Amino acid sequence: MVNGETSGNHVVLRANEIAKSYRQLEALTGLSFEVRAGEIIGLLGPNGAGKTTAIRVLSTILRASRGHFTVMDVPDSRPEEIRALIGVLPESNGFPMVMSGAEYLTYMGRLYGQPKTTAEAKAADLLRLFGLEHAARVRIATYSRGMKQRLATARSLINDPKVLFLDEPTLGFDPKGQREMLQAIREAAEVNQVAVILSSHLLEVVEAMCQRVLILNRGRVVAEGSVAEIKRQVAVPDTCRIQTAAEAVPHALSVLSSMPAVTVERHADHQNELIVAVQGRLDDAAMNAVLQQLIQAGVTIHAFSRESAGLTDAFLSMIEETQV
Amino acid sequence: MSKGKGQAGWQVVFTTEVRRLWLGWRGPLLLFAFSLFLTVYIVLLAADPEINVLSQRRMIGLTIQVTVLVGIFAVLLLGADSFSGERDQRSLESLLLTPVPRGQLAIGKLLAILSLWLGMIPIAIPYIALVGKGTGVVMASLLLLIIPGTLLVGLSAGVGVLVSGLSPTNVVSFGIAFVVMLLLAAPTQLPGSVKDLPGVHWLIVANPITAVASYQAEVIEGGAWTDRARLLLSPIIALVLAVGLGPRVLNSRLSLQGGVEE
Amino acid sequence: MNSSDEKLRTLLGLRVVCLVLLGGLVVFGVASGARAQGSPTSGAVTVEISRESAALTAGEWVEFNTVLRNNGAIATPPMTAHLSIAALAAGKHVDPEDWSPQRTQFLSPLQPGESVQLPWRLHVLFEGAFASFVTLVSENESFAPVVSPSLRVQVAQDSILPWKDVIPVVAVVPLFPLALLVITVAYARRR
Repeated sequence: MVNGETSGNHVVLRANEIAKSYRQLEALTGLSFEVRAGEIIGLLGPNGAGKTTAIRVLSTILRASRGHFTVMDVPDSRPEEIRALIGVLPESNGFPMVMSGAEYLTYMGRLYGQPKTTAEAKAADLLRLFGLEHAARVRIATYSRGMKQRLATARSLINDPKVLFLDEPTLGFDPKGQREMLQAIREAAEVNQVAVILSSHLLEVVEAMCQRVLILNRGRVVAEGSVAEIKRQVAVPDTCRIQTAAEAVPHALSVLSSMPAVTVERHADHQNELIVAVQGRLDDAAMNAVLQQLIQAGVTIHAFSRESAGLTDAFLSMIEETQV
Repeated sequence: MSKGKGQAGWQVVFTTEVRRLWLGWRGPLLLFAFSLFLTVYIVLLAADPEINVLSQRRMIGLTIQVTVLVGIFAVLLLGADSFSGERDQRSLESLLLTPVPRGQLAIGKLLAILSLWLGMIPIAIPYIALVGKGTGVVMASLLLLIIPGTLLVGLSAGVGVLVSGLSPTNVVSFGIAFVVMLLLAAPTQLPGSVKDLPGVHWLIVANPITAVASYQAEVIEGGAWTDRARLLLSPIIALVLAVGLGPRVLNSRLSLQGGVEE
Repeated sequence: MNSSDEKLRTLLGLRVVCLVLLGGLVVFGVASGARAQGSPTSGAVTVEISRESAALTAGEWVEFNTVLRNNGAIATPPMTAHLSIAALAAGKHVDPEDWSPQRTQFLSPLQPGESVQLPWRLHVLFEGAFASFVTLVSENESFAPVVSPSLRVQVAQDSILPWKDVIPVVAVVPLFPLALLVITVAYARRR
């Protein structure tokens, strides 16, 4: 049965060796992870990696071929109880077009066992939260794509879920809308201690939002951990960019090339810029050592900046490795 | 999540689907089309110079049969769209994500669909009363429309919802459901001499639609209600199977893709 | 028992049978002869009909009687009275079973001077001109059939679906679902 209120450390979802096969095709295999209350987990992977399959299995839409999972200690053998605890923003969203936004959310709330008045009030709150109160009484058929995405997100929260699955939550939003959406997700996680499993193609979104990331490829988990841990796993180095006089570039190149654990190359587009990478982390000490070496060699530095290795780099590197 | 004292899932689905049907123009449109159909039918009968008293009872029987058949197919139309339409519209997933058991979703939709039949009966009453005027069998005709007719319409709704739940697309759903009901309804048009052949007779009895048609005709022609009441066995059994077993099947088999192994 | 006794018993039995048969033949012969001698000609039996014509509308019933009278000096044989209905115009076909629930009545012998009244009912089913009559026949071959005068029935067709009844229904009933449709479409458009 469902446990009591969760603390921030309480594990709300446990997945153990989840696999999903369709005849000869293994869409997902060996998915094991835990999510704690208030945590935001990212699911990354190229198309067909198994992200949507994973969400559908964990949200009980699909039955796992192997493995088990629990939500708030409710086993997957009791899917109806699990559904009462989760909210899902699916990848594809459809609505009964003749209903209004308010009618639809109220309907959904009532399907979660809420009395009509409670469902109506909850619907009104969510419509206000997602900026749809002006369209509450209007048919969904007249909604824009962004409005439908907001409505779908509102629907995923109608039952105050303990675990929230979001598949491409920023789809259809303009940059402002994306920011608002992500803020709402963050608040849900932090304030309401909702565990969030977020799948997105936008790596910067995942990088900005998620404490942990699972990278899937061809149905398998190829990397798991915090963003920093993943970057370290693939040893994608941080870099810095150093601007100098064009005529000084060859000299600077030879100076830095002679430094151990340093790689340097000329920027492809800006001929007076060098991109310097240090094996391991480009921390302050390493950065100072590089700059000192250049200054002592008489190279005039016009500007420099440090750039952290992106999750994009890590992701692409990871995918390339696993596809070999 | 608030547990509250909300209604059962099937009740919520039922009330919402009834609202969608009747405030969303589909129900009124089907009802209007039905009234136009009966209008054309009656006008053609009235203009027929070959009508005589003997055939008036047969006319009533035919009118009831036609009304029930239209009811069957109208309800089948809605039933076949019930889940596969949501699937095509991509709104099924959100429904499947709720804690309502799949079987209750089916029951709610099925009962909402039957509200169309409840609307069709009052439309049919004036036409049947017109055709039966002076025969003394108008009340009997109406009872024959309502009781055995509802058995068949309920069966049709059950078949439609079941097929819709298992079909991957709306096209497949409509195709299968209509073929099934057409195969059941077609033998009503067999000539009497064929119907009386030994093997065919048992098929007539076992087929719910033809069994009800035979029962209605016999009562209209003056037979007692209990004389051939066993003709109502096959429609009752079929209804129980469709409406009783159908939701149970969908409870475990209703899926997002439909017809695809999960 | 010896074989002589058996033969004697058999012969005795046969004689009894022959006597019985002979006696029966004699009785039968006498009786037949009486009938044959006393059988009235069918001309002694008359059939009258209570009405000779009727003008009806399709679907109505007509009732009439026939009176059978034995005007002869001896009793009639048992008779069968049979009602016939015939269409008088080409192209019309009467199915007697549909027009009358009871078309045959069996009668005991009528004594001299005795009469009997037979009731008949006809259900006229469609328009046209028809004649109905009663025929008396008997098992006795010498009794020639006797036919009553005919009842001439003129049937007018009353339309099962007169336009005065049809038009109000077909004009008014569809208006209700149409009104509902208009209201719901208007409601949907407003949203």
